Amino acid sequence: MRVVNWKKILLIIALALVVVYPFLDKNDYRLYLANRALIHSILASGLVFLTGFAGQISLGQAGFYAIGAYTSAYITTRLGMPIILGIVCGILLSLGAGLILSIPSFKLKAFFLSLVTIAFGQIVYVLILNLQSITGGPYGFFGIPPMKVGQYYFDNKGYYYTFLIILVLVILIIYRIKNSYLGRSMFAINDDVIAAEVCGINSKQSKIFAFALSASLAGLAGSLYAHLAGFLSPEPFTFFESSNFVAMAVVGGLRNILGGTIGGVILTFLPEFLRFRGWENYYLIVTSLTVVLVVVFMPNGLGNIIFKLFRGKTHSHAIHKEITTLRKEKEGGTK
Amino acid sequence: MILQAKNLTKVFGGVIANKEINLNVEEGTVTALIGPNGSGKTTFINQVSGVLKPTSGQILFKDKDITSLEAHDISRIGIARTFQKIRLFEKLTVIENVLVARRKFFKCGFLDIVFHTKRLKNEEKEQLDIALNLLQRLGLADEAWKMPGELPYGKRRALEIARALALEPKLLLLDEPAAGMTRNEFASIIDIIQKLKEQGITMLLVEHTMAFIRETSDKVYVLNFGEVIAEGTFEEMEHDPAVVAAYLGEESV
Ligand SMILES: Nc1ncnc2c1ncn2[C@@H]1O[C@H](COP(=O)(O)OP(=O)(O)OP(=O)(O)O)[C@@H](O)[C@H]1O
Ligand SMILES: [Mg+2]
Repeated sequence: MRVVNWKKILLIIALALVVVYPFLDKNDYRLYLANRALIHSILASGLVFLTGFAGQISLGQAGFYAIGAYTSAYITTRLGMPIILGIVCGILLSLGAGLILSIPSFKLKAFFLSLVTIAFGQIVYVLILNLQSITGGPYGFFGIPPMKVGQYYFDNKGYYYTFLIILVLVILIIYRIKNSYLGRSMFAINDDVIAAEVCGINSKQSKIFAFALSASLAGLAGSLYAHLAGFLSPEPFTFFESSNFVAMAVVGGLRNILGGTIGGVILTFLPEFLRFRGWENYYLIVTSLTVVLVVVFMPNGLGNIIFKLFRGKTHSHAIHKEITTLRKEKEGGTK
Repeated sequence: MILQAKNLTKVFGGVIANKEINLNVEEGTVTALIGPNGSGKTTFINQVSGVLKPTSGQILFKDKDITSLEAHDISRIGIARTFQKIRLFEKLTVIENVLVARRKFFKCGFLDIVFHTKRLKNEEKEQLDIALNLLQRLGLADEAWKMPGELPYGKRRALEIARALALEPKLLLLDEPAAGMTRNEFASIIDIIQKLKEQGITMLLVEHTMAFIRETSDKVYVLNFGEVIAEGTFEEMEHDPAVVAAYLGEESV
C-alpha cells in the first residue's frame, strides 16, 4: 500500500507505550496503580465474558476476588507453600464457589439472580470479618510474601510485566472461546434459549461454564492482588467493589473482547486522578456520573468507540472471525 | 415403531391441552397431526421434543423411555423439530444458525480451544462444509453469509428445516411448515418434504392445509380438544363423520 496507514502506526505506538511504560514513568505510585489496573482488567474481562457473552449477571465478584486473595495469602504465609501453588489454589477455590453460585442461575431471572450474587458477596465479606483466625478479620492479614524469581523480589516493574502477560493470555483464551463452538452456543442461547436447547445445546452447562470461568478469573485477580499489596484488609472486598467491577465491564463494553481492559484501566485511574486534582470530596460523584453518562449515551461502552475509530465500523459480535477466515479460504479456492 | 406416545396428558392450569393421547409413528413414514385451532397439536410436539414436560403418560423413542429427558438430550439422540412461529438465531448468520446444531458432532474439547489446535481447525472446517452442503440442499447456498432477517419468509422456514436437519435426526417434527407461505413457497416446501422422505427421514407434521396432507402423509391423526378422535389414512379421515364434525362444528352434523 502506498498510503501511510496511520491507524496501524498509532496502534503500534500505543502497544509500544504499554510495553515500555514502566521505564517512562518514574512515579512508583502510578506504576502501582497500573498494576492494580491490570488486576482489575483481568477480573473485568471475566465479567465481560459472563455478562456480555453468556448473558448472566454477577454483583458479587468481590466475593471471588476475596476468596482468591485470602486463599493465596493463607497458603503462602501460614502454610509456607510456594506462591504459584497459592495462586492455583486461589483459582480453584473461586472456581468451586463459582460452580455453586451458577446453580441459582438455572431458574432465576436477571433481577433475582443479581440479588443472590449480592448476598454471596456479603456472605464472603462477613466471613472475612468473622473468621479472624484465618483472615485476620478487621485487623488485616500481614506479611504476605511478594513474588520473586530466584533472588529477585518483584518491584512494581516486575509485577507490571507479569500481570501484563497474564492479562494478554486471559484475553487470548477468552477470544478463542468466543470464536469456537462454545462461543457460538453461548450467543445462540442468548438469542433464543429454547431454540438452542432444541439444537442440542445444554444451556445449563453453558451457564455453569461462564460462571466458573468468570469466578476463576476473579480468583486469579484476587491472588495476584494479595502478593502485590503484601497485606489484606476487608475494605477492597465490599459490595461497593463488586459494583465497581461491573461498572468497569459496562464502561469498557460488554460485547467487546477488550471491554474489561478498557474499563479496568479507566476506572482505576480516573478516581485517583481526580483525587490528585484536589477533588477528593467529589471523585466518587464524578466517577459515578461518568459511568451513568457512558451507559446512557454509549450503551456499547467506550471499547466500541475505540474499535470504531480504528475499523471504521464495528462488526456484529456474532460473525466469528474463524468462520470468516474459512470463508475467505473457501472462496479464494474456488475462484 | 420409532415413536410411541402412551396416554400422554398435559394440563395447563384448568386447560387439558393433551388428554391421554396414544400415537405411534412408524419408521420411514410421514405422519400428520391435524385438528382445529387450539386442539393441542403444538403442545404434543412440545412434549415430544422436551420443550414441555408431560403432566402424565409416556413417550418412547425407539422403545426407550424419553419422557423425563431434557430438550438438548432429546435432540442429541435423534429428534429434531421446527417451530410454528419461526425461531431462528437472529444475531447469528445463516450458516452459523446451522452450525449451532452441529455442536454435538464436535469432538474437540476445551483444551483444543485454548491452544487452538490443528484438530479444532480441521473440525471447524469439516463442519462448515457439512453446513454449506445442507444449505445447498435446501436452496440457501447464496444466503449462507447473510443474517436471517434478510431472508424472505419461505427461506426462513427452509433455514429452520436446514438447522433441524443439521442434527441428522431419525425423527423430524414439523409444526406447520407451510403456514403463511405463498403458492411458490408452498410447492417448494412440499418438494423438500418429499425429498426428505425419499432419504428415509421419518416425519411427524402438523398442518392445516389439506392439500399438503394429501400430498405428503401416510397416516393421519385427528385431534379435537386435546383428544385423538380419529386415525387412519387421509382418505379415511376425509369421510369420517367425527372429523368432519370437529372441523365444521357440531351443529352441521
Ligand atoms: N404454555 C401454555 N400455557 C398455558 N396454556 C397453553 C400453553 N400452550 C398451549 N396452551 C393451551 O393449550 C391448548 C392447546 O394449544 P396448542 O398450541 O397446543 O394448540 P394447537 O393445536 O397447536 O393450535 P394452533 O392450530 O392454533 O397452532 C390451547 O387452549 C392453548 O391456549
Ligand atoms: Mg400450534
